[in-house]
Amino acid sequence: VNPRDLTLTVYGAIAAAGAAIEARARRPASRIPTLGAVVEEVMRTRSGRVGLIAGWAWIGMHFFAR
Amino acid sequence: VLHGLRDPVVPILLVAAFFDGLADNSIHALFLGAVGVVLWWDAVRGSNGAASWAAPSRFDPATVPSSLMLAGSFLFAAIVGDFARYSWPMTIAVLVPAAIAVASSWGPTRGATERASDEADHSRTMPWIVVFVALGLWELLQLLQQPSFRTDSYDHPTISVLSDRYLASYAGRSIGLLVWLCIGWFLLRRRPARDP
Repeated sequence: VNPRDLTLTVYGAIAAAGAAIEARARRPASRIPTLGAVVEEVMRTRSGRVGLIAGWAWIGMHFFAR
Repeated sequence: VLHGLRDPVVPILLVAAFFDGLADNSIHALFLGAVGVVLWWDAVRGSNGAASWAAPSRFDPATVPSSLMLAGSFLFAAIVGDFARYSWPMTIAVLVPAAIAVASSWGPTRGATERASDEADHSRTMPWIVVFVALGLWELLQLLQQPSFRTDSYDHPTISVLSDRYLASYAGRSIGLLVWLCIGWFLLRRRPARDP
């Protein structure tokens, strides 16, 4: 297998797994929380929400800022 | 002083800042390092019984109507998307919403929501933890297989390398900025309610 194809396939598989978990979480009586619920839990503490928002800010800087 | 390091977020931010500094990303390193140090200082003050220095910000993103935020995000993306990547105008434009978002996430919340709920069953979040850890490890593996940290690899592209071709155009940068802002908005909307 071409290494590039393998790399892209695994990225795709991880994204598909995330989508599948979210779909499963949205089913009635599911024990798995949605991604939004996980974020809400993290955002309950100051360090959690500041860390999460700092991570988001870093992504913007990484892709666009010098 | 060590009390502040018990929270994993502080060392994660400081380590990330250190490695960003090693990679010559001084602005990123300063940003992450400053957030980490202030968060650390705030935790140390809290352990000594002092009230948090963080005053409630007058700006609460959750109170801004979604339509207004969406319109502002489109306008921001349309204007800033015209700036070259890694230029000073782009850097300043990105730093402004980033700094506002971090500052607005700092203020106190209702006492009941200030700590993570002890009764939460963290095993339920395991599927999400596995997905994000897998993504992080796979990204790291591709990075380590590059000829160097500053030289891209065709065979082992990171997400950054894959995005380069799209972010090279005005449309790509504008869409990328819009997605980034919408994710930030999604996160800030999940911030717990403030004290009345």
